[in-house]
Formats: sequence, structure tokens, C-alpha cells
Amino acid sequence: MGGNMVGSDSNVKLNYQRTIGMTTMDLGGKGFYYPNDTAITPDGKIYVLNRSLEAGGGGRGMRVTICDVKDEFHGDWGTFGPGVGEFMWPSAICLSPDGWVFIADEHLNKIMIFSENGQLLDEFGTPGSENGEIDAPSGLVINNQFEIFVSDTYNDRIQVFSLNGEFIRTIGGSAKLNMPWKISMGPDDHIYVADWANDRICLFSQEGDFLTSYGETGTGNGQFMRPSHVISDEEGYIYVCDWGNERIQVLDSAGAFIQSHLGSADLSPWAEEFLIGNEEEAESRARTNLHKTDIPYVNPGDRHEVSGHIEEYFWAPMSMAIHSDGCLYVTESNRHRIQVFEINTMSS
Amino acid sequence: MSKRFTDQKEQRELIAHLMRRAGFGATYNEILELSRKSYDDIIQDLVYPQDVSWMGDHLVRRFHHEHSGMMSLEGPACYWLYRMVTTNAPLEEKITLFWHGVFATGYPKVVHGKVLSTQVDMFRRNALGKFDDLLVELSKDPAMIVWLDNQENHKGSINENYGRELLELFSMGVGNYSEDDIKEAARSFTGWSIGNTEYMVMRSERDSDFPYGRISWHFEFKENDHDYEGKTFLGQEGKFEGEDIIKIICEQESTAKFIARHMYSFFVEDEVPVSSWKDIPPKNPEAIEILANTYFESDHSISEMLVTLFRSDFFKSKSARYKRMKSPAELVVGVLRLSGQLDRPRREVGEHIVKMRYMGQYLHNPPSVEGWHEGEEWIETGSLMERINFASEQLGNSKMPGVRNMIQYVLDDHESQEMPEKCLNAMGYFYVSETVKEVMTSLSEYKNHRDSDLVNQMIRIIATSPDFQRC
Repeated sequence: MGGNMVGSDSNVKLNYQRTIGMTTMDLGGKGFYYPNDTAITPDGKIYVLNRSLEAGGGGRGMRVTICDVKDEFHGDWGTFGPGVGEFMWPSAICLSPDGWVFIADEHLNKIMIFSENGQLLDEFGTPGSENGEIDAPSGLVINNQFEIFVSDTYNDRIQVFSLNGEFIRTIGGSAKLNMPWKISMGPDDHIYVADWANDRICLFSQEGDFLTSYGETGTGNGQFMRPSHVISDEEGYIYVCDWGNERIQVLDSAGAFIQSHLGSADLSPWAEEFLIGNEEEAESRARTNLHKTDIPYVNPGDRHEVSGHIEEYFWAPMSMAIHSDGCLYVTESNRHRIQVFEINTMSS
Repeated sequence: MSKRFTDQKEQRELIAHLMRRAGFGATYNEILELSRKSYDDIIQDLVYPQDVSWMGDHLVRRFHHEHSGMMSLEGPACYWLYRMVTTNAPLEEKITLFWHGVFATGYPKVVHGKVLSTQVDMFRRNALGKFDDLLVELSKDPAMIVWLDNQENHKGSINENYGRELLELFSMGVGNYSEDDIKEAARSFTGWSIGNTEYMVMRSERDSDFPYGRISWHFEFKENDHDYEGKTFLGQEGKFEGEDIIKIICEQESTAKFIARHMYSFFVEDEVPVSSWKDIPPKNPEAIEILANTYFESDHSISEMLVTLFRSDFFKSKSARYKRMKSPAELVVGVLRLSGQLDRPRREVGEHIVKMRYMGQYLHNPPSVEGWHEGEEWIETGSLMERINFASEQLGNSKMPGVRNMIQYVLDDHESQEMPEKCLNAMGYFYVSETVKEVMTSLSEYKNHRDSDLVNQMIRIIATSPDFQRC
């Protein structure tokens, strides 16, 4: 087992496979800029939501980048602004069963609905704390009944709407959620919630019954520090984006710790292309030790600081997706890339 | 007015003065709370804060991704603004801001937001400790190393930049050392560099984020590039290392007086820029002497120098009040602490940084290694309009939680004070000139005193007064 992993050798669920993407600030560029969420279509197209720059109020490079699991770049769309169909603090992206693209904005307090090529179809959302009102929507998922679940951050709940924005129900109250972030729906149809400020993950039925929670505050195995996302696979294994600890953790279906991973990124095809075109930088990089681990940190336990120094490590992992190719796609905001891990079945 | 009332008011005004200088001002409720303690205890709590808290890294980073990756300049500036506005230990941030001005390090050459933010973290950790320790950490700080080219300071081929500024701007001041001392200091700091020097410097020179964003820098001592031979520095001889040079510097009277004058200028009364210190004597030589004495008596302790300063008559005197022009950072932070707008991460924080920049101060981006020229130099036509408009927009907005609190205080206060006085107290026992008071009085005479709009107008008048520009 590599130095970036913790867990039993016989129980490895995740093996690093490759990296997609690189830093690109502006629209039209092959890359991402502070990506914070991804959605993958069944045929492998990846929609990457870029939070991008907010400096000076300009929103430079705010966009949805479309690429695929084979590293093909398909373009981008999106407009910064406070107007209809525009976004300022885009926070979550998901797809409906018929291929519409839903984007939440946690500054404008709205959910926008786009066609696959970025044409605005509709938007809804009213700020507030009453039923049907939202305060900083930060996670989205759609079930097979065409209901959309919205992580309603500052109201400490998940709200459920029809796809045209009619309020249906609220869930999460009995669990005393505290600033929930991203959410997902498992193959078991349960709703998985990253209960961010409570440092745990919560499971609910579709109707809102609080089923269970896993985790507690900490840096040890099975402990979390401000988890950002949680998803599960066909076998019932649970993957947690342990954002504050800068790692991914794998739990079994009963919540027992299996493995954690700090990330193992290497050069993506796009990054290699960049370096081929920038020979001097490539040569200098080749003479550099980017894997140095004996750095005299003021606080070696500060994972954010450590990840800032070690390029291969996750730095602000925010979102995950599992594709039918059997891989886990982990989106990292601060490194502007997606690390791809092969998910091993337990029989392998 | 009874003596008890007068004493109480004077006590609160003194606390307000302390909080404007040692922090960024205090609200009415904060002053009320503080007035339950003795003045000396308040100073102790400021200088030796316990249980420091602020909005926190996690909350800021969750909503401001750019403040997490910190590739450019805006992220670190916004991050620090949050910290200054929401901290319960204001002196910690104020003294950090002080050192940022003294050890000015700027983005245009470093081109790496994260390392500049890390430098400010280092200031915060060492800001109130022993001056020697701060200088050692400064000499090892990656941002400073690149800012003053110490990665180019090699055994047998010295680069004097850091050695020169260490003596001229960071400790002793011009006229207290020789050109040879600069060279010997530079030799002692050869090999003090950063890891992966070539690649990191190249990426900064090219402003390259590729392929995966900025990689943080770390200090690296390059043993093979260090000059271990004997040196002569300030009349002393030995095989000095960088730490030895700093120890000798910190034993000098000129160093004590240099730091004391910086402190006096920042916390007591605006002085001329440091470049003029060689020719223009301090405004209050006796105060500098007192602070320098504490420096030696306390084994170079910055915190003890501050205790002496805040307890001194020259600080507490009424004639010392409103003698300093607020820097843009002080003005913006003070207003935001009063308005309460940043009660959670908000997109508007970036706009505040832009406005601070228009006022003439861009955090992490001082105009030169000499830092900002403070005092009256902050004020010119354009910057003054920005300052007034900012204060007016924030404090004239009754939707802001802090403004609502101030209005409520005035409406609830049934004591015998006049309306203008109530409003000044609500804004943290502030003072305005008689001219401004007259405007407020005339406004209150023909309006309903229970009218919250009137109170809000009064608050806006105070916020836009010439007096509000000072602290």
C-alpha cells in the first residue's frame, strides 16, 4: 500500500488511476478554475462547475466546462452575473434523468435549469427560511420521481422540490443537520448528506426518515473534518470527501472504516500538453522534487497547509462521482483537476 | 451632570480610545462590557489574548474557494479582512498589520498569494513575542526571501538586498551601520533560500498557475551555499550565522529606538515617513526613550513595550486622541465591525477590498519595501471620497445588523443625554467637533426623537464627518 493511503492491504477499494484537467482561468480554455462539483452522464460526458474568481466582483472564468472520461474537451458555457440564467456563486450541479443540467447558486439563492448545451430553460428559488425558501443552496440531487433535493445550508435542512420548483417537503430536521453541503442518492435510494459542521454523514429515506449517521469530529480513521460530499456504490460502500482533512475515506455499508487516500495525482494529458508547449518550464519541473515530505511545517497536522506544498495530494477535494466505468472521480477545487480512482470490488 | 456620570463617561471614552488604537474600534456594547474591568486588565487581555476566535478557516474556505487556493492577491486580502473584522483579539490583528507595514512585502515580485498570506500568519504568531525571534522568522520567510532576492545571495557572490534592508528598514535605521556591515550581514545569510528554488521562482516570474495551481514555498538552508568563514559585524568578530547577526542587531540601542518610533507612530501619533527619520527627530523623544527602556528591561519583548505604551500618560492623554489618521484598513475594518455586515461569508467582502484599494491600501501589496506612508498622506481628493462613501453606505444602511443595534440603543436610551450624544455613544463613545454636533442638534430639534430614520441620519452624519477619518 502506497504512502498516500491508509487501510488494510487486503481491503483496498481505491487505486489511483489518472488525472483529468488542469488550471485554466478563462472561458474557451482546456481546463478548470476552482471547480467545485461535477456531474457525469451515462455516456461519460463530464460537466464541471467552476466557481472561478470572485475578485473585484468580476467573476472571471465562471463557467461550466464540458469534457469526458477520455480527456476530450467539448467546450464550455455560462455567464457571470446576477441576472436570469447567470451565476455568481455557483455551488452544485446535477443532471436530471432526461439530461437537463441543474445548477445551484448559493449567493443568488436559486436553482437554474439548462439544456445540455447551456440554454436556460427555467430557474426558481426564493431566499428565506420558510418552507420552500432557501438560504445558500449548496448540494443537489434528483431522484427517479423527478424530485430535486436541495441542500439548504443556512436553514440546516434538505428541501425537496418538483423540477419546476414547487415545494414538496423538507427533510433533515430530526437529525439536527448543521450547514449541510453536498448530497447524493445511493443505489439503495437513500439520500446521503455531508453534514458539514457536525463532521458526520447522515442517511435519510426519500421521505425524510433519519436512518443513521456515521463519523465524528477528528483526524483519525472514520473521523471527519467538515465533510463536503458523500456517495455510495452498488456494493454499498460509502465514499466520503473529508474536505477539512484533505482526503477521501471509504467506509463499508455499516459505516466501518476501510481506507483513506490523500491523493496521488500525476500529470494529466492536458497538463502534459501544456508542458510540451512550454519546454523551459517542463525542464525546470523535471529538476524539481515535488514529492518532498520533510518540509518543516509550523503545524504538521494542518492538512490544508501540507496539501498546499505537495502537488500530488488532494487540496480542497469537494465533490465525487462514480461512473459506469467503475471509477471514482474526485474533483479538487484548489488544484483544478479531477483525480480518478479505480474502485476494486471486494472479491478482487 | 453628576461626578459619577462624568467619571463613567471619561472611563468609557478612554476605553474607546484604547480600542481604536489597539484594535479597530469597539461597539457600544463592547465598551460597556469592557468597562467592568480595570483599564490595566483590559490591556492585559489585549496584549495576552486567551481563547482567540474569529469566523474561522473552514467557514471562509467553504464559501470563498479563492481564499483557500490563494493563487492571486485578492484571496489573501479578503481572508485577512474577515479575520480583522471578526476576531475577538483585535490587537493580534492590529500588531500584525503593523508588522506588515514595517516588513512590507509585495505581490508584484512574489506573485504568489499563499506565501504572502503565510507570511502574515508568521507575523501573527511572532508579533507579540521577542523581537529577535520575529527577525529570525522573517529572515527564513519564503516571501521575504524572494521579495529581497536572498535566493540569489550565494557564498562568494553575495546579494546585499536583504542584508541592507534588514539593517536600514527592519531594525536599526540609516546612519547606524556601515556598508561593510551590510556586506557581512549578507554573507551570514548566504544559503538561506527556498526549496525547489529554480522552479518556484520561474513560475512566479511567468505568473504561471500551470498545471495545478500554486505550490506553497518552504524555507531551505542550502549548506553548500553558506559562507561559514569569519565575519566582522558592528565591531564584533566571529563565524557569525544569520541568527548571530540578528542577536547583535537586537542588542543595539538604535534598534530599540527604531522599533519604539515605529510603535509610537502607529499607536500614538502620526510621524513622518521612515525615510525622513534620519533628518527629523521624533515628535516625542521622551516617549521613545521610555519604550526603548522597556525593550531592554523586558528582553526585547514587543508585548511589554505595548503594555508600557498603552499605560503611559502620553497615550492616555486627551491630547493624544484623534491624532492619527485611520489607514484604509483601519477605516474599512472599523466600519465593518460597526455595521456587522460580515456576520457570515459574503460575496461583498471582495468589493470591500477593492474599495480599500481605491482608498490607497491594498493588503499584501505595499507600494515598496518601505511600506505605506501613513498619516495625512492617506488623504487626497479621490481617496477621501472613497472613505466617506464607504462609511456612509455601510453605516447609513439600517438593514445592517450592527446599525440596527445602534439605532435600537438610541431609541431605548431614556437617560437625560441629548440625541447627538446618544448617537455618538452608540457608535462607540465617539467624538465629533462642535460644528458637526451643531448640525446634528439642528436636525434633532425639528424631528421626532423616536424616529429610527432620524437616528440613522445622525449615524450617517457622524460616519461622514472629518472626525471619523481619525482615530
